[in-house]
Amino acid sequence: MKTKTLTIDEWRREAPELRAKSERALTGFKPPRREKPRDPVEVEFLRRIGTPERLIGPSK
Amino acid sequence: MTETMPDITALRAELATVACGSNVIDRTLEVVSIVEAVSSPLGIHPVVVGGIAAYFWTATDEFMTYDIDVVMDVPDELANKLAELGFDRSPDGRHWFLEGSDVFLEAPSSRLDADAVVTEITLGSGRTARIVSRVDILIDRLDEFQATGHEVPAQQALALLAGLQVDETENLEERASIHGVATILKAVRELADAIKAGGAPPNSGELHEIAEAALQSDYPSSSHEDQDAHN
Repeated sequence: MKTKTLTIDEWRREAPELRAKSERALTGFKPPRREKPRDPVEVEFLRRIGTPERLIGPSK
Repeated sequence: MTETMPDITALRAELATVACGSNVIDRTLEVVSIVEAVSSPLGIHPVVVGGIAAYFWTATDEFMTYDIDVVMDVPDELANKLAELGFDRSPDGRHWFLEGSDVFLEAPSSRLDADAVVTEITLGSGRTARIVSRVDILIDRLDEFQATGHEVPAQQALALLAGLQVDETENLEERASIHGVATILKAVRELADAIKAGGAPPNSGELHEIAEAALQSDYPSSSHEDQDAHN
């Protein structure tokens, strides 16, 4: 297994460009809704902390 | 060289502080770095995978997720250390919750691919956390998109592809066939080119058709129904 290194400050500097590239690549798409089912224990916890339903998706 | 076990009481206090941070990336990586601090003396190094890795490598809020998937072994000795840090383990043994916080860890498996590339990130605290590379999470999302036709992995694959560096593109080319994602990679690249040229993005039904065609090309006797039966 290969390991590379990065600092969180380097990531922060690169993040705006990453975000812009991603936005261009996803032009016209709506924010995605999770379709992959989750374990009920995850669903319960994510609802409890106020996670949007779009990110929680269906329960198994 | 043998690492000594750090001061658990101090780490527990630190964990309680970082777990309440408002920035999801900082919070996640600092939490994982504390798990790394107690697991590395046991020779165990957690690696962040899944949705958080996709969010990290795209910096795109639409992909934000609150669950932290980590690849690591959890022998009893580490389970005891996690409990000392304040984590509660779920009855299924896979999930770890930090009471009073939004932190939720899942250890879905204990092994990465043999050819995986990992990035070690040095954090503001001076600790480090490991996360799978952009290429590894892209291969994972391509595989999931091909298997399911779902829009989350499709969009994540498009966004990750857009952020690839030259050396990462070379690494992806070397590994795509080995991981059975060469056909779906080609399809996603064609989709990226079509969107770049001003085309409308595919709807959910069209995404399923793209994935199904790639699946049929690589695995002629398979279908999404078969994949769903496995999931």
